[in-house]
This record gives sequence, C-alpha cells and structure tokens, in this order.
Amino acid sequence: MARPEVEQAILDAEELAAVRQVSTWRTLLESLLHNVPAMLSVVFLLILVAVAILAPYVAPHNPLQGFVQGLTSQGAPVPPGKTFLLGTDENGRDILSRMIYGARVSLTIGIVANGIAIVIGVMVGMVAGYFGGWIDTLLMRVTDVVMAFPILLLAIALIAVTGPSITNIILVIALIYWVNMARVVHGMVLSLKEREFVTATRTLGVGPWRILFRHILPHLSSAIIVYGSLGVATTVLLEASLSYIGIGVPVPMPSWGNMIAEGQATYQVAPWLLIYPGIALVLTVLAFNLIGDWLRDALDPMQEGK
Amino acid sequence: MWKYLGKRLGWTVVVIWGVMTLTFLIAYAVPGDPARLIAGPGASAATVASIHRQLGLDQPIWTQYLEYCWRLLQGNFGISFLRKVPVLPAILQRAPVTAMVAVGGVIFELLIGIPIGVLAALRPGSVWDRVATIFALLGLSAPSFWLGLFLLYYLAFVNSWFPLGGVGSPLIYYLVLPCLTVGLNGAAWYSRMLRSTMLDILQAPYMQMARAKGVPGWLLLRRHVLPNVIIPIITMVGMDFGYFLGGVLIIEVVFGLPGIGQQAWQAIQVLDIPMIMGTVIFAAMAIVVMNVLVDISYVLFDPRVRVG
Amino acid sequence: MSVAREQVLEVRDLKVHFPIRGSFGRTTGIVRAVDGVSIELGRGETLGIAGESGCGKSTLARAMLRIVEPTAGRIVVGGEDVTAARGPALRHLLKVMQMVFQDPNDSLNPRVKVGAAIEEALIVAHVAPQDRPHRVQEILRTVGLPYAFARRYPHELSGGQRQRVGIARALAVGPQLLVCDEPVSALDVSVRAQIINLFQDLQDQLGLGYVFISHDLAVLRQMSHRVAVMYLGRVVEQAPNQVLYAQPLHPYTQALLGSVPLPSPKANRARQRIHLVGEVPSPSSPPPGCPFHPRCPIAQDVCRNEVPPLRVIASGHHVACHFAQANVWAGGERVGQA
Repeated sequence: MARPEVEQAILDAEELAAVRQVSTWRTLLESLLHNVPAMLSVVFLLILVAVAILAPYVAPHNPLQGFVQGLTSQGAPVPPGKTFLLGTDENGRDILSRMIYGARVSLTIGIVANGIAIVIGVMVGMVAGYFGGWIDTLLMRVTDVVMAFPILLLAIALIAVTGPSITNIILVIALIYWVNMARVVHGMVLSLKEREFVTATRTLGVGPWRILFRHILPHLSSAIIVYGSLGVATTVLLEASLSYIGIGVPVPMPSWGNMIAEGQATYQVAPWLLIYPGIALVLTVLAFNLIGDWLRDALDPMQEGK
Repeated sequence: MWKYLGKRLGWTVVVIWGVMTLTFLIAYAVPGDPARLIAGPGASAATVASIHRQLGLDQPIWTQYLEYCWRLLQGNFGISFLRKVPVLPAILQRAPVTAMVAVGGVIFELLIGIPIGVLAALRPGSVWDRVATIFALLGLSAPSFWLGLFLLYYLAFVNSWFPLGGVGSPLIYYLVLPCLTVGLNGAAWYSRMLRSTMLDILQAPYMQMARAKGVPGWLLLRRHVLPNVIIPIITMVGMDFGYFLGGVLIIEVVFGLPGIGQQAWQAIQVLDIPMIMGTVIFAAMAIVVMNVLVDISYVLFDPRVRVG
Repeated sequence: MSVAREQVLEVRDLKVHFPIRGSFGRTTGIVRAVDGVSIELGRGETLGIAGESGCGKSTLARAMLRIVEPTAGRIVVGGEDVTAARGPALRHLLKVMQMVFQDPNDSLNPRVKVGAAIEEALIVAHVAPQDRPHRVQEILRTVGLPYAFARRYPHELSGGQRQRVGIARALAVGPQLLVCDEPVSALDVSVRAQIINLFQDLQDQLGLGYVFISHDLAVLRQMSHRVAVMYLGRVVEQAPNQVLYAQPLHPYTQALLGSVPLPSPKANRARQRIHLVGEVPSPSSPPPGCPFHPRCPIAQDVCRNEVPPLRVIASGHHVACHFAQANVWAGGERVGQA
C-alpha cells in the first residue's frame, strides 16, 4: 500500500534517527558503579535486609533472654567479648542479637509505613492535581495544616491517643508522611496534565483514570522512587525517636531506638549500649539518604514535570 | 505589600483553625472514651463519669467541637491530669528554657552551617567540599538523641568539660551541649542548602558578567550573593525556631532540661492527654507565628515582595 | 467547489474568549482568541486555514475538538450539534473528528510504545481485543510504517516517523475528518513533502476531510480545496484555492501572499509587495473598526469605525473588507503600493 518513495523515506530516516535502545536499568547500574558511596549503601542495605529476614538463623542468641553469664558479678552489663560479640545490656541480653531483631522492626516499619504513605500520597496527589477544583483546594489546605505541626509531636499525640504498637506506629507515620508525597505528586501532575501528550490522549476519547494510570503515573515513578528512599530514611529516624521516648516499639521487643533509651541509664559504665545501636541507626539512615541522592541525580525526577 | 501581608495573615487564620480542628479530631474522634484516656489508666469509674460530664461528652459532637475551639481561643487548654494545674500556664512557665535552647540551637546552626556551606560552594569539588558533604550527610542521618548522648558521654563524662545534664548556675554552661546537639543537626541542612543556593548564584550569567567586568570578589559576594542567600536563611531560621520551640522535646529529655519538651515527655509516660495535646497545639502555634514573622521579614529583605 | 456535497462539519459564529485573571482571581480583561468564525467542510474536502501565529487558528482547532470550551457559537458534526456535548455524545464527536497535533515530540507520550498508543485508540473505538494486533498492523501500514515499529518508543523514531504515528493514532478511531494543526511545521523540510503526500494518499484512500491549519501558504496551496485566512480571531477572506491564490481581495491576504517567495527571482522582484508594518495587535484589546486597519495600507476613516462584515463577493468567495468590491473592479490587481 505504501508507495516505494515512502518505503525509501522510512529506511533513510531509520538510518538518520539515532536509535538508542539503552535500557533504563543498564544506565542506572552504570551510574551506580561510578558512585562508590551509593554502591556501598546498596550493598550495606542488601546485607541488612538479608540479616533482618534471616534473623532467627543469624542471631547468635535469643534477643529476649537474659543470660546469667550476661551480667558481671556486680550485676553490670558485660562488655563486648567472645560470647557476646557486642556485649550485653543491663538485663544480660545479647546486644548483637537484639540489634539484628531490631533491624527487622526498623526496616519493616520504615518500608511498610512509607509504602502506605506513598500509595495514599500518590493517589491523592494525582486526583487532586488532575481534577482540580474543590478537591484540590481541600488537599492543599489539609497538607498546610499537617505541615504546621512538628512531625514528632504530631506523631506523639496520635500514638498517645491510640496506644503504642507496631501497627499504630506504621499507621501514624503513614498518616503524617503521605502529605509530603501528595505535595510532590500534585505539583508534578499539575504540569504533566498540561503536556501535549495528555491533551492528545484525551482528544482520542480516553478516560481520565486511564490517562492518570497509563500516561501520568509512569512519569511519576522516578520521583516516587527518590522520595520513597529518602522517606524511609526519615521514617526510620522517626521510629527510633518514638521508641526512644517510650511510645514507639513496645518493650521488650527490641528496636534500635528503645535499646538506646534503655542503655541511657547505664551508658557511663557500658557505653556500648549506646554506640552499637546508634551506629546501626546512623548507617542505615545514611545509606537510604545516599541512595536517595544518587537516584535523584541518576533519574532526575524533576525533569519529568517540566 | 499590604495585600501580600493581608493574604498571609488570612492564611494564618485558616491554618490555626485547621490546627484546632485536627487536634480536636485526634483527641475526641478517635475510638475509645476520651474521658477514660484523660482520667488515666488507674482511674475509678466515678472519676471517668465525672470527666465525661465535665468535658460535655454527652453533648452532640458539633457542640463539643465549637466549645473546644472557643476554649482554645480563650487560652484554656484544659487541666493537666498529672499535675492538676491548667495546661497553658504550666507550658508558659516551662517555655523560657525551651526558648533558650531554641535560640542557642539556631545560633549554633548558623555558626557551623554557614561557614561550611560557603566554603564548599566557593571551592566545589575540593577537599573542603567533600568534608562538608560528609558532614552534612552525617548530620542528616544521626538521630538527635543519639548525638546528644554521644556528646554527653565524651564531653561531659569522659572529659568532664561540661555538666552531665540538668540545670544549674551559670545556666549557659548547662545549655552549651544541648544547643550544640540541636545546632549540629540543623547545620547539616544549612550547609547543604547554602551550598546549592550559592552554586546556583555563582554560576548565573549575571555573575559571570560581573566577574568578566573585573568586579572584585568581596564586592560580588556582598552585592550579589548575600542578598540572594539571606532570604532562604531567614526562612529556615524562622521555621527552625518555631520548630525547636516544640521540637527540642528529645533534647530536653536527653539532657534533663526542665522545658516544655521534658514536661510533655513526663506527660507521655502517664498518658496525660491534656498536657500532650496542649504542648502540640502550643508548638503548632509557635510555628504558625514564626511563619508570620518570616513573611514580615520578607517585606524587609525582598524587594520583589515590597513592590508586589 | 461543489455545494451539493454532504456536510461533515459546520461551525457557526464560533467564539472562544479567555478571561485574563489578575490577583485574587478577578477578571481584568478578555482575550478574544476566536471571535466569530464560521466554516464548513464536506466529505473528502480540505479546508486550509492560514494566518500568522497568534491569529487564533490553533484555538479554533482546539475548540472544534472541545479541548478548549467555546464561549459562543455552534459546532455541528455529522448533523449533530456537539457544542456542549458531554459523555457519550462527546465520545461520538471524537470518533467522527480527530486531531493531528503540531509537534509529535510533545503529543506522543515518551513512555508509551507506538503499538500501545495506537491500541489505546482502538480500545476507545471498541475494537475487540483479538482484532487489535491485526488492526495496529493495518493502520501502521496505512501510514507507511512497518509493524516492527509497534514495539518502539517514540524517541526511537525520526521526526517524520513520529508524525506518522500521530496520524495513525488519530486514524485508529476511524474518523471522517481530521483537524491538522500545523502538522508539518515541526518537521524537517525534507520530510514535509512526504507527510503531505501521506495526507493526500489518505484522503484518496479513505475519503477523509481535513481542516488543515498552517502558516505556510505554499503548503496550503498544495493541500487545500478551499482556504480561509484568519486575522485576530476572525476569518477575513475565504475562497476556493485557485481563486484565493490568483485573485486575493483582502489586503491582508495580499500581504501574506506577497511574503511567499515566487519560484523565479525575476518574478519576485517584479511583483508589488505589501509590506506589513507594525505588530499584530493584542487579541485582548483589538482595535476598533476593522481589526486590520492599523497595519492596512489602504485604510480609510470607515475602516477605523466600522467592522467590515464577511461579504460574498463571488460564488464561494467571502471577504471582510470595506473595499473588497473595489478591489474586484480594479481587476484583481494587487492594490496598496505605498
């Protein structure tokens, strides 16, 4: 049907068009190899996740059991040594084992809470940004109000009322953090919906939901990944803070935050109670931050909105 | 300019109303009996019933909401269950210590954050820049309570340069470590923000033009960089100060300082809901007020707002 | 052209006004992007719309497809008034009339493969899932692309190929009429001719009608059966193709044609050209009287006070100029030497 000259034109153009079929994944991987801190962070987090999942097999001791040999004859914690690699706490429990189980708690809360926050935030941000109108106004007002609160205090108030438990911590954190995601997504959708390809798709007769999920959502993925990984960093910190105050993960279940809180009483004689959980916390948060920074550079999510 | 201020103030009213509504929802609309929560875990049935009546919980929720807002606007934040005193005066009595920590924290963040950010921006890619980046990332990643305990252990316990917490005389001696802790976390944000803002400015076309004309470096900094950098710094200081007023809770706990944060922490231990909610509202209001002050300072420092 | 033809599209006195919003959302002015345009189109016919940028041609196109809401007037497609159509009626409109956008770099989603983009249009057109791959292949072939391109992303195509995809996508819903908004102006000159040929082939094969918008009078001359010239949101002259190019009656049309280079330098030098002076006035504050008068070389007092109506000068030749008749008497000579 196509005429010979058209065929020829296609072949010419095909040669002219610099056809780059480099997959996004490969580009990402290459940029990771050039970014040593981010690569170390990825390795660290992979190990941490593996350890957290395999906690029962990896942990040398029962994290909840107080050992008789875990206390000195004066009843003080035992410093790091052969039996207890990172020492014991004031109840004779093994610090390393508690840290391993603590990783489980911290990562679970960080990832699940963020996952919920992202789902809510992306949905609300997309709907408000795309449809506009009163729903948009309402969203922006709600986010302004939530942002007027110090996050920690708002979380404290919510947990004080609902009672401390892992489920409640996750829900409360998700309930506070969706706002950030919604703001980011909202802003991006506002500019994406003005793009010609959205107009063109709408003109085909395609409905708004299909446009949102098929055409706009893929352009949000970079931002979601970046803010997601930075969000896990802040969430892990928030959980640790809540646990430190005493309304986070309920004792005796170990979390890095409540381990530091418990260690505070005896840190003068047993500084390892503070040092090791603290280092685990800092390294984990640092790793998520570094990965977030790397992804931000590698994916350049703001580029999508423009 | 007046239009701008009027708009911002109108906006503030909306946020304050939102804060009241949200706290009402948290305290009253959650499952369970708020009277039981307020009375505390060990209260008798009679106490719960009397609080129930006292709070007007037998009234329809709409009436309760209006009365709640009205009480708040009059400065009545309720009675502390733990200490049996009105919440707002108790908070105001503790506020000076918290305000001092907040001011000290802001001073430390500026003293530490600005030089590091500026040095990094003036020599991008240098060793200084690397060090600044690492400092910023560590500052962002270290939880404040852990940083505080760390400083306490090395500077107060191992080296006894500073007291091991609490307050005494001279007060400033007791405030250095808490303020430094607050400041170190904050400085990380400042250095990061300053570095990127300054790099943007230094690479702007008008700067290259000015340099090409032979304008000396110090003049460039004063004329072009400083005016552009001061706005984001003011914004951050204002927001930090408001944030610290309610947010140094953890630091006060670590250092045993008798501020509103420690008071709230004590309230948390016994689920003293009026005190907790009162502190939350107070902190949110502090942030709102600081935002208004920041808006006013824009008028003073940003010609675009002054004209617009 | 033939009058007895079946009407596919009729636009009556269409207006699109945009409010200018000041602070606090107050309306501080109105941009009359399209200010009373009437056009009609028969099956298999091409109406060219010419004009400088900012004259409202794109807004006209977008209003016809209801991308922007018309302020007043009537749009009738296939005998059905769709001016305020919603829901199913609007979807019906979009099945009869489709749009080809100016820049395929913008109008194709970079994250959606060619095949998926076309398939999406097929879903809208209720094509059964098992028939879709076959239809995608057929449509791609119609626009001169191999089926293998279905698996490509837009950035893996050349500009011309991308515009072919844009056309394919519009064709997939089975329209009778394509509104083409500057469909070749974003393309390399070497590719333009190929795309124009494609448009002509499609018209021959499928009997498509085109509303073909372009600032390039040479392109319109090749494509159109009739041409309408727009200025500041209004049609100032409309005529069959040969008539318009041979005997333009509106000074603006004459000026536009004068700016098209002629094939021989000699002819170029010989002709008298009207040079447009000044800027196009803002559509938010159009001049009183004839909108063209501030730039018109033959403007008189009457032009400054009275808006010239679009008058029928000859069969199918409409001109909005107080002196159109005089121009005819002048033997179609181009007037207005300074």
